[in-house]
Order: sequence, then structure tokens, then C-alpha cells
Amino acid sequence: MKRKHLVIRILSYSFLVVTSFIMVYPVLFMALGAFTTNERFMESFFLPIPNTLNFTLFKEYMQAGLGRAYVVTIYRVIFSILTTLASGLIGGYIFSKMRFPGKNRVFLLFLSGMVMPGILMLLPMYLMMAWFPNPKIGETFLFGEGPGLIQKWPVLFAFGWVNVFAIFLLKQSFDMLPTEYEDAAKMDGAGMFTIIFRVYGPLLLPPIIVLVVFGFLGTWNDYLWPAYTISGNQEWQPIAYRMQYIFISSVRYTSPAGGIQDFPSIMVRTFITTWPPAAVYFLLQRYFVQGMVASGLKG
Amino acid sequence: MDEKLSWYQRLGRWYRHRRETIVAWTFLGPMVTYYLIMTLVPMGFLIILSLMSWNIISPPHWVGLKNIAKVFSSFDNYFYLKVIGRTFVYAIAILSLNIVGGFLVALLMNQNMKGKGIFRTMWYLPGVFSGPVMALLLKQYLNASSLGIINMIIGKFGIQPVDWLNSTLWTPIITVLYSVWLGIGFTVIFFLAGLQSIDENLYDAAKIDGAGDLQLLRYITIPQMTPYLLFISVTGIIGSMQMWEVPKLMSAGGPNYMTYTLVYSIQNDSFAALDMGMGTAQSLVLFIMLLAFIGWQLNNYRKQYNV
Repeated sequence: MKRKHLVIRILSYSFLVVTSFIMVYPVLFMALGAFTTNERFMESFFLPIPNTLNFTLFKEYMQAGLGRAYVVTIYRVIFSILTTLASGLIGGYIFSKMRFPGKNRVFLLFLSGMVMPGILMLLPMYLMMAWFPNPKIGETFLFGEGPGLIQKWPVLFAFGWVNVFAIFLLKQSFDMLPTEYEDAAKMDGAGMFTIIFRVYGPLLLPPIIVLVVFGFLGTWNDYLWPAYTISGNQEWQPIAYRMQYIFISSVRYTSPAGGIQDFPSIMVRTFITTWPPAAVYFLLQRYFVQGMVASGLKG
Repeated sequence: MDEKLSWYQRLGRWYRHRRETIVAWTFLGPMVTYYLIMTLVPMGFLIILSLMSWNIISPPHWVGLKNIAKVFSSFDNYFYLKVIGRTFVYAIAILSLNIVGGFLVALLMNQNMKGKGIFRTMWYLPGVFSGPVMALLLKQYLNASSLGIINMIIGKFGIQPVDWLNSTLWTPIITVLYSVWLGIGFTVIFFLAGLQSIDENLYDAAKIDGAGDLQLLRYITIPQMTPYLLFISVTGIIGSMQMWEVPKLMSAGGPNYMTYTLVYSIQNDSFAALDMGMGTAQSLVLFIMLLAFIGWQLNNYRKQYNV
């Protein structure tokens, strides 16, 4: 019996070690390749091991336009986090602590939006942006024939003002906090915003961090919407879309056989795009698990 | 108490009386309005445009159900029906690998072992990245020349370079594996949370009755995990029916339309072929196909939030 357990244990360990390595192998390869010189990269066998950390490519790409893409992406992230927290805290408070007619209907309406497949909205939203009047190019009416806001920066900030997931998550957290806090604050003459942001706010830190993490990742990784709405405006392309269109041609490598490849530069671009989500993930892993379980069922 | 009240006194009394309702709707009102504009209006456009023929440039004209009929017709040798069937096969393949693999790994990780956290971290890592960015990276790994990274590695073992993204054998496999690779971390973490929520006493009681490991799995673990399995199945099918990264960014739908999935077809028809009618018609068909799953999920949330 003992021996059987030991065998099972060793087997599951080795299985997990091997499969975990396979899961991270492509990412690890990319992260190491980003700092390896082309010549050394071509000599590498299983993983490219840089002999010195080669930051030149990283710097060159940041100067060639990925720096600007960072700035755009950070604007979007800040926008997304602010709207998420504002709508989530206010909406969550209203749904949790207030009683008013129509509450359940509005709640159901929000819920039904949450389960809608996002891809369905791509086309209609594209058209809504195209029909939106843009006075700068002389459009003054809805449904104009011109491009409207397409290829203009406002498309990046048009959606996501009301984050339904945030409302639900925070409603549940508000439900768990006793109303006594609020009553005491009201005695002292506190208004609704004071109650939400100063009384409850600090107590809601864990779900707020969950929302910040997910807001950050969702916005940072967004590709499809920019790909169709801002594809012609390089100045305002977020990083996940921009990274594929910047090339520094001088660093290509010609192999003895005649082929031309430039893997390190592809990997640098990917690394520049992916290290912030990875860093957030490694630092705030605990909140990750919480948020994912909350997005599904409660156990 | 039949004092005469002036209108502002009555307003004040009305406000005090219904304070909560007024305050709640003051803030909720704009949110609901915005929300309706951003969900109901697009849904309306979707339905109206699917009844039209429109290439964005010239004015749209009414064609009725022609677009939707085209999806189900024998057009181009049942082209769109094949797209739908293909998407469904991919979704089922991705989902079953995801669930079976995810459940197995979660079971293994749920043992009382050292380094559990590290394994979990590694398994979820691909899931934090942008799917399209990872697809673009993998496309470079799968480069067809002998300098492609995977070809370079297998070349060291003396294997000839493979044209991965042009092979009728490998492209579908890569499509499935890519989606599983990105999504399975979520499944594992979700199942782990479920496994940890099972009451230990159930196992102890069954062990006293002399149940073996497999019986414990069959009669306790799996029944207790049913809500988790259902949730992953439903969200998984909704998610994987929308898969588009591999066709759009890696294989361009090829070879021979083998990876031409529904959402890629929607994007292609509307933005490349500028046929808004077909794009929206296919979006509607996708929505109707997923309706049962969406309804289940909505009902699930309703129960969870007591609405």
C-alpha cells in the first residue's frame, strides 16, 4: 500500500513537472530569445541562453514607436480602471444597500448583457462609431456618410463606461458588509459618496484589486477592436496591435544557407508587449484566483 | 392636519418620502441609458442589417431573409454550413481536451504536495497574455523554413522541416492545441477551487465504508464537481465557438479552408469582402446557436444573485 502511494506520487510529480514546462516553454523561449544576439540565437539548441543581456534591441524598438504605444495603452488602462471602479462602486452600492422599484429588472438587464458573446457587438459597434458625427471633419449629423470616429482616438475610449462584472462583484462584497457602518456615518452627516468611497471603500480593497487586475489585463490585451477601428492611425495604436507592425530591418540575420530570419527582434516585440501582464500576474496572483472563481460560481 | 402646503413643501415631502428611489435612479438612470444604447441598439442594428445588402460604400437596400437563407443554402457547395459545422467540431475538440485535461491536472495538483503553487502558476501563465499576440508569436515558431524554430529543433534530430501551417494534418491540430494551451489554465484553477470546496467528511465517511480511490472519484468527486463541470462546459462552448486567432493571424483560414471558422468568416465577409449583410446574418446565426447556452448561464447567474 505504502509503495503504491509512493509510485503514484512520483508519477504525478514527474507528469506535472513535464507538462508545466511544456506550458511555459513557448513563453520562456520568447523571454530568453528577446535578450540574445542573433548569432548566438542561431547556435542555441533547446532554449536560447543569452551570454550577456542584450538590451539594444529592446531600446531600439521602444524608440521606434513601441514607447508611444505604451503611452496609448496606459491611457486606456487608466480609463478602464477609473470607469470600472466608479460604475462598480456606485452601482454595487445602489444594488446592495438601496431599495427602489425596478431594481430586479435593471439587475436582470445588466446580467443579460454580461452573458452576451462579445464578438456579436464588433460589427454594430464599428458602425456606431462610423455614424457618430465628427465635427472636425465637418460631420454634424448622426448616420453621416463619412468615417465618423473611425481611425480617431475617441474609439479607444467609447466603450466600457459601465462595467457590469464590477457591479456584480462589488454588490456581493457590499452585501457582506453590515449596514451599521453606514448608519454611524450618516449620523455624522456623511453623504452617499462619502459612505461609498471613504467608509466602505477601504473595506472593499480585495475585490477592488481583483477588478484593477482584470481591468488592466483586459485592456492591455485588447486586440480586435483596435485592429478594426484604429488600424490606419499609428499614433493611437495600443501595444497589442502595434507590436506586429514595427520592424527594424538593419538587424536581420542571414544564415549560411541563404535564408533570412530575425527571431530575436520578433521576440523582443512580443516581450515588450507581454511583460507587464506577466509582472502583474506574478505579483498579484492571489487576487487572480479570487477573481476567476468569483466570475464563475461561488463554491 | 389639513394645513395648506405650498408646492415646494410638497416637493420636499415627496423627496423625503421617496429619497432612496430618487437617489438610486439618479445614478442608475445614466448607467441604464448608456447600457441600453451600447447593447440593445447594436442588437437592433444586427437584426436590421442582416436583412439588407450593403457594402458600406453604396446605400443599403432591403433583401429580406436572403442573407440568412444563404447561410443555410447550398450556396458554393454548402460553404456556410460547412463553416458552421467546422467551427462546431473545433469547439467540441477544444472543449473536451480542456475539460478532460484540466480535470486530470486539477486532481493531480489537489494532492497534498509541495510546489503546488508553482505548478498552478506555470499552468495559468499563457492565459494572462493576449491571444492574438501569442498567435503571432507561435506563427514565427511554426515558420515553414528550416530556420523556423520548431523546424530548427526537430532538424537537430534529423527530421525534415515541416510546413506546419500549410499541412492538412498539422493546421487543425495546431488550431486546437493553441486554444487549449491558452484556455486550460483557467479550467485548472477553477476546478482546483471546486475540488478544495468539497467537504472532507464525505471522503472520510466513504473510506470507512471501504470505498477505493476510483470509487471515491466516481461517487463523490465527480458528482460534487458537477456545477463546476457544467459551468466550464457552457462558457467553454460559448468561448470556443468564437475562436478566430489561428485562422486570422496564422493560417489565413487555410489550407483549403480547413481552419475557416465562423467568427473569421464574419470578420472576413464584413471587413474584407465588405458584405455587411452576410457578416451580420452569420453573427445572428451564431447568437441563435448559442442561445441555449447563454440562457443557461443567465439562469445560473440569476440563481446566484437571487434575482
